[in-house]
Amino acid sequence: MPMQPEVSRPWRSSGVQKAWRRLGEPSSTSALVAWIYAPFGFLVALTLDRVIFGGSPWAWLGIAGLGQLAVLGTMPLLGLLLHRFLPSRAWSLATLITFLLVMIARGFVMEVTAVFMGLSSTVDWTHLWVSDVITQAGFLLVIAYRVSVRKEHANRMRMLEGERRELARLDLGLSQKIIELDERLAIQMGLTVEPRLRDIDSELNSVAAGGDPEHLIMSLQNFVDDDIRPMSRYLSEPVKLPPISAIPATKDEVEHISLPSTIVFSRMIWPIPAAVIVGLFTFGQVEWLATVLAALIYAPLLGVIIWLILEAVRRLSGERQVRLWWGVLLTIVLNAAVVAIGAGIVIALGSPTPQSALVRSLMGGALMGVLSAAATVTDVHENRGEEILRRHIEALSAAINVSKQRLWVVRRRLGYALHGSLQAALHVAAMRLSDHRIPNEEVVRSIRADIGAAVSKIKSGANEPCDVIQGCQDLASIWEGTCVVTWEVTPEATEALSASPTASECAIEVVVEAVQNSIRHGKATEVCVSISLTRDRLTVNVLDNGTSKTGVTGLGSRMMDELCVQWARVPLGSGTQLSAELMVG
Amino acid sequence: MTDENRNERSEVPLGELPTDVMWRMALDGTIEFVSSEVYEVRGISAEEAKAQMLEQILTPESAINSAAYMQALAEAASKGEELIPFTGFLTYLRADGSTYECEVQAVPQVGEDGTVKLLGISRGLIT
Repeated sequence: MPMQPEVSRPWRSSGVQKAWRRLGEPSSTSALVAWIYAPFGFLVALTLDRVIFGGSPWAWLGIAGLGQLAVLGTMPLLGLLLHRFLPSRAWSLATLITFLLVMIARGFVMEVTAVFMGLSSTVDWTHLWVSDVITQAGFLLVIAYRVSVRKEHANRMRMLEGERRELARLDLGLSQKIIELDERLAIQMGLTVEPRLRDIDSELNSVAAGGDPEHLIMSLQNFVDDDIRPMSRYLSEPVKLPPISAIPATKDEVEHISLPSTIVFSRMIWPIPAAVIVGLFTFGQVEWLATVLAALIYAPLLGVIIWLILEAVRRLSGERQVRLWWGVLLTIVLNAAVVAIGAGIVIALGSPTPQSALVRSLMGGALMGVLSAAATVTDVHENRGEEILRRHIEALSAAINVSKQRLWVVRRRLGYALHGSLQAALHVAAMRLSDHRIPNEEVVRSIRADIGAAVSKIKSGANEPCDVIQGCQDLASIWEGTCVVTWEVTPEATEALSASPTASECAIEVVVEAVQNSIRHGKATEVCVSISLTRDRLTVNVLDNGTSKTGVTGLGSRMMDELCVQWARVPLGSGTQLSAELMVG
Repeated sequence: MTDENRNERSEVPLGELPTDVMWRMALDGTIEFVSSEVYEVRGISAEEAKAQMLEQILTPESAINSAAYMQALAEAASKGEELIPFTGFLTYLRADGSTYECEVQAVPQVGEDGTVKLLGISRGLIT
C-alpha cells in the first residue's frame, strides 16, 4: 500500500467545534436522549421545595411523568423535521432550538397540570420560559453529547470490526490459496505430467534402441502445449481467493474486557462540565425561589469557583494512578465537596441563596461526580475494546503481507521452473532429437538428465536460497560503468533476512525494481541502497541522484503493492528516494 | 449437452476451466484436498466438501460406481497388481439439491509409505 502524506486538519484540534458538530447529529434528538433524560426530569421534580410547593412526592412524580411524555413526544418529531427540511450546516443550531422547544413543552405540561391539580395557583411563566427551560435544555445538551460520543465509538467499533473481518477473510483466503497452489500442482503433476514423462521415458528407450524419434519429438511438443502451458498460465493469472465462510470472531474478547484495576485520577475530574452542570442544576431553583438576578449571580459564580478548584486538583494530581473503585468514590466526594466549598464562598460573598438551592447544589456536585467517574470508566473500557480490534487488524495486516510475499514467491518460482526450466528442457530435447535423427546413447542420457533435473526443481518448489548482499553485489556489477550502486545492510537486517528466505527474495526484488527504475527512468548515476530492521519490519531505502517521475504506475508498482506493507517514492531536491516497508515472516 | 459442446470443452487442457475441480482422496473415501472451484460448481466451500461422505457428494448410482472402483483398487494394491486409472462420468449433488454431471479422471498414486491415493479432476459438462 503506498504511503499517504499527512494532511493537516486544524478543525480536528478544536474541541468546541467538534462538540458543536456533534450537537447537530441525528442522535442528539433521538428518542434515546429523551429516555436518558427521564431520571433527571424526575429528580428535578422530587427536589422541589415542599414548603413552597404543596402536594405529595407521588403527585410530583406523576406531573414529571407527564412532562417526560411531552419530551418523548416532541423531541424525535422535531428532530425528524429538522433533519429532513433543514440543510446540514443548520442542524447544530436547530438542535439547540429544539432542546429549548422541547423543554418549553415539558414545562408547559407540568405547570398546567400543577395548576389543574391545585398544587399551584398560577402558571409561573418567567420560570417556565426562562430558567427551567435553560436548566433542562442544558441537561439535554450534556446527554446528547454523551450519546454522540457513544455512537461514534459504536460506529468506530463497527468499522474496525468490518475491517478486521475483511482482513481475516483475506488472510484465510491467502493461506488457503498457498496450500491450494501446492496441492493443485502436485495433482496436476500426478495426473498429467508424470504419465507424460513416463511415456517420454519409454519413447526415449525405444529411440536409444534405434527407433524413429519423430513421434517422440511430437510428444515433447504436445507435452509443452497441452500440459506445461496451462499450468504456467494458471500461475500467471490473477489470484482468485477461495470463498471463506467461517471467520474467527473477536466478539467475546471485545465484550468481556475486564475493567482496569487502576486509573489515572485526573482523567475523572472534568472541571468545565462540572461547572456547567452544577450551574444549570441550581440556576432554575434559585430563580424560582429568589429572583432572576440572584440566579444570574449564584449559578455562574458557583460554576467559576467549581471550575477553578477542580482544575487545580486535576493539575495537581497529574498522572497519579489510583485503584479504580477508590477513584470513583474519591471523584464523587471531591465533586460534592468542591460544590459545598463553592456554595459557601458564594454565600459568604453575599449572594442571596435559598436553602433548597444549596441542597440542590450539593446533589448536583455528587451527581457530577458519579457522571464523570462513570463516563471516564466507560471511555477507558471502550478505548480498550478499540485497542484490541486495532491490535488484531495490525497483526492481520502483517500476516497478510507475509502471505502475499509467500504466494508471490511461490508463484514466481514455480512459474520460472515450469515456463523456464522444464519447458526449455523439453524444447532443447526436441531440437536435439531433430538434429540427431539417429541419436546415440549419450544424447538420450543427456536429454533424460535435463528433463529429470527440471522436474526435480518443480517438485522441490524451486527453492533456492537468496542472499540479499549477493543480490546487491550482482546489481552493482550489472550496472558498473553506467551507475555506481552502493549498499548497506545492517547486521540486524542481515540476520533477519537469513532466517526468512521469502522476505529475502522479496527484499532483493524491491531493490532490483527500485535501482532499475532509478537508472532507466531517472537516469541516475549514483544509487545508494540501505536495508535496516525495525522490530519485525524491514525498511528498504533507495536514494538516487536522478530525475523523478511520479504518478506513473505499472507492473513494478503492482509488485511493490503486493510485497510491501507500505511504500512511497518521494522526489527530493537532487534525486528521488524510495522507501518501502516489508514484513519479515 | 451436444456432442459439439463436449468436444469443444474436451480440447481445453485439464485444470484450466473454471469448473475443473481438483481433488485428492484416500481409498477409504476421506477427501484430503479439494480445490476451491468446488464452490462454483456445487455451492459449498472446499472445507465443507472435504467433510462430506461419498454418499453426500454423489448420487446413489455414482456413489456405488465410485465405491466399486475404489474397492477394486484397494484389492489390486494389496495384491501388488497394476493400479488402473479411472475415466468416466459421475453425477454430483449440489447444495441446492440439484445434480451436476462431470467427466472424471482419476489416477492412483502410491506414496513413499505405500499408501494409495487418488488424484483426480472433475470437469463439469454443459447440460
